[in-house]
Amino acid sequence: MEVVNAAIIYGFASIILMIGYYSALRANDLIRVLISLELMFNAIFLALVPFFAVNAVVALGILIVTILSSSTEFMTLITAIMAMDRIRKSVRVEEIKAGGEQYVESKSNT
Amino acid sequence: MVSTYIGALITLGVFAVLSAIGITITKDNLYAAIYLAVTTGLVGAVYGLFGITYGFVLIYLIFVGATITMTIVLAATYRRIEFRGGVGKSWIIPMLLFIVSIIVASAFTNYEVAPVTSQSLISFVSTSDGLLLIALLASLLMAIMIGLIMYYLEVSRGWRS
Repeated sequence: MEVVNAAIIYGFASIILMIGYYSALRANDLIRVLISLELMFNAIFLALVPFFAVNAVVALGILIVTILSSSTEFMTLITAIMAMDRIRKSVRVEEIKAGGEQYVESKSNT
Repeated sequence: MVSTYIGALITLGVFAVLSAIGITITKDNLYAAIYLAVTTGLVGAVYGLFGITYGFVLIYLIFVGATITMTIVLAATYRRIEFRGGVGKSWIIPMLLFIVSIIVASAFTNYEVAPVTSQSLISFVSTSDGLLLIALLASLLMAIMIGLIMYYLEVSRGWRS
């Protein structure tokens, strides 16, 4: 049976995770933030592969919980984005900063 | 000399990283979502390479089949050219440091991965405990979804009035 060093998988997973973080930090609209979050979850799935060599059943349980929670989270975010677009007529990241009303007031005053 | 198995893993990983870079550099949300689907498919292919059939099926059915399809539809709905904002480009330096530290830290360990058979997983699913766990997780998902539907109805009440 072929044996692979876990460093290869962890290396690729960390690269994809960091690309996801960078894309989320640079993003300016909420759809791109959502896509970046899904990319981060991809990295988590890749990092979970070596755990299957240790305890396959527990790893499968963790994988199921991760997939279900991430899917539910993304559906929640999609609903929130659609609701925000209906209310604010925009999906820009600036619209959901903490104290968003103050931001809009200051923008309308200037 | 790299064996065929490790070569296949490295090829899948390199293409996954390349399509992940495509998500960052493309300006259109729709293309970003399609690149995301490609990346997820390649990550699922790594599961297939290691013989983890259940993980492969779960990722392809639930993640690629449902979640990412919804994301592609959403990105096609809100298709617009993105204007770059957020943090500066210098943030790439600590991220590169993180990647190098992860690779170095995991290269010096003797932790190695062998392909697993799905025999233990088949025996797990065929027991009553395994079926109970799956039913519990499905009902948990439904409970969360009910909360989501209630939230949607609460929010959409304002739209109708």
